[in-house]
Amino acid sequence: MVVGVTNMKKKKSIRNRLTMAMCALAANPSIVAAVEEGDRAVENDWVIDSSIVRYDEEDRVSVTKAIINVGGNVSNTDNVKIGIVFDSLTGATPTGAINEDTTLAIFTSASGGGGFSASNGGTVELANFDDTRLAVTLDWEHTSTRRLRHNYGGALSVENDWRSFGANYQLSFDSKNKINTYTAGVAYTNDEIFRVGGGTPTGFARTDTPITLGEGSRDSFDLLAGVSRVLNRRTVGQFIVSAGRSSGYHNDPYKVISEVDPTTNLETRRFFEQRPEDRTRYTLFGKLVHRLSNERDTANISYRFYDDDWDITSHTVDVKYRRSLGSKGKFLEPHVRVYRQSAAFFYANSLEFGLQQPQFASADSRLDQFTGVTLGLKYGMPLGHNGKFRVRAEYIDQSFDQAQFDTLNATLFQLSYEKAF
Amino acid sequence: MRKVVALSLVLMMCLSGCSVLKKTAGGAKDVATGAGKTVGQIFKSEPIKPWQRGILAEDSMQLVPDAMDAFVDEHIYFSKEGSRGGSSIGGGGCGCN
Repeated sequence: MVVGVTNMKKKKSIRNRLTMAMCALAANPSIVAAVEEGDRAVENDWVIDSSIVRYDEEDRVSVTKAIINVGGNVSNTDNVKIGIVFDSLTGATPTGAINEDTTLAIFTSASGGGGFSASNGGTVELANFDDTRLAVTLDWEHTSTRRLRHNYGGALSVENDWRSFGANYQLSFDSKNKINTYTAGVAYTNDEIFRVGGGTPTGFARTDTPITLGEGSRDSFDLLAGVSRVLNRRTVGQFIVSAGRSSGYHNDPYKVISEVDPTTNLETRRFFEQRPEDRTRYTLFGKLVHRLSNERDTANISYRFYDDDWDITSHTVDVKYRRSLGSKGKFLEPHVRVYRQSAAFFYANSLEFGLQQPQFASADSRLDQFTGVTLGLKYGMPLGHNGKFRVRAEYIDQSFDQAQFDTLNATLFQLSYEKAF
Repeated sequence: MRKVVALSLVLMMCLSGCSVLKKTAGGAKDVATGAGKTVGQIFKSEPIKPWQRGILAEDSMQLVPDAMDAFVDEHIYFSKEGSRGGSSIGGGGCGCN
C-alpha cells in the first residue's frame, strides 16, 4: 500500500513535470525555433556547404579559393563529410633579400610555375609566382554510445612544389548530464617540399652558386585535449591545450637572406635561408559563447596563447558579435581579431659582412615580431528551402617591427551558400 | 590602426546596447556594477534541464557557428603568421608556410 501511494506520487510528479515542460516549450519561441532546427537535422540527412573566397594583398598576392563540403548521415551512428578545396594563387611575395639596386643574380622562384622575375625596378626583393592547390579532406564520425563519439579524418593536398598527407583521430565523451564534453585528439602530417623543377637548396648556399639537394620531408605530430562546458542556459565555454612537434625540412626553399657590408650598406652576398630542423609548440585556447539578455545578440570571444622553441610567442584575441535581425535567421556579425607575436630567435633582416655566419638565419617576415589586426563584417540570411546564404568582408593589417616591407594590407571577400536535403 | 580598433570595439558595444555603456551616466560605480553583473551572468553556473537548452541549440551559440569561415581563416592566418592551431587538429595544410 505504501508502495502504491509512492508510485501514484511519482506518476503525478512526472505528469506535472511534463506539463511544465510543455508550457515552457509553448512560451519560449527560441525553444520552438531550436526544435524546428532540430527537426531539420533529423529530416535532412545531407548538407552541402560551398564557398567562394577572394583574398587580395596590396601589391602582393591574390588568391581565389573555391570550397565545397558535402556531409551526411550514412547510418544512425555514422556521419561522413568530404571536402574539396581549390586555390589559385598569383602575385608577388618578398624573397627576404634587402631592397636595393643590385646586379646579383638570384636563381630561385617563388612557389609555382611562373619562375622568378624581378618585379620592382630591377631589384629582387619581390618574386612573382603563380600556383594552384588542390586539397581533399575526409571526416567520418562514429557514435558508439549515447555519450561517446569517434572522429577519423584524413587530408591530402597537392601544389606545384609541395605535397601533404595527414591523418587524425579525435575522441569525444559527454558527461552523464551532458554538461561537459571531454575531447582528446592526435594528428600526423607528412609534408614533401621542393622547388618547381625539383630539389631544395642547401641552407646558406649562395644563391648565385646554389647546391641543390632532393625533396625536403617533414613529419609533424599534434596532440590535443580539451573540455567544453555548458555554464548556464546562455553560455558555453571551452578550454583546449595542445602540443605539436615537427621534424625535418622547415626551410622555405625560395626564401633568401642578404649579407650587407655595414660600412657601405650594400649587399655583398645572398644566401638561401636556414631554419632549425625541429620545432616544438604549445597552445592554450579558451572560448566563451554568450547570449546576451536582450535575446538577440551573441558574443563569441576567444583567446589563444602560443609558444614554441623558436622563441615565437603569440597572443590572439578574437571577438565576433552576432546580432539577430528578426526571427527569420538574418543576422549581422562584426568581427575583430588582434594578433601579436614575438620574433623567432634566428630572424634577421640581413646578415652583417665580416661576422661569423650564424647557425640559423631567415629574413621571412612571418618570423619577425609583428602585430596583426583584422576587422570584418558578415551578413547571413535564409535563401531558398533549407538554404543559408552568407557574405562577409574582412580587412587585415600587419605591421612588422623589422622586416623591410613593414606593412601588409589585405582584403578578403567571401560568399557562401549552405543547403540541407 | 589602433584608433580604428578602438572605434570598432566601441561600435560593437553600442550595437549590443551594452548595459555597461548605458550605465555610464550613473557614474563609475554603476559602470563597475553593470560590468560585474554582466560578467556574473556569463559565468553563473546553474543546472540545465533538457528543455532549457533551446538557446544553446541555436546556430549562433555553437562554439564554431560557421565551420567554413573558420576553415578559411585558419588557412589565411597559417600562411601569414608564425603560429598556428590551438582550437583543432587535422585539416589540409598548405605549402604556403
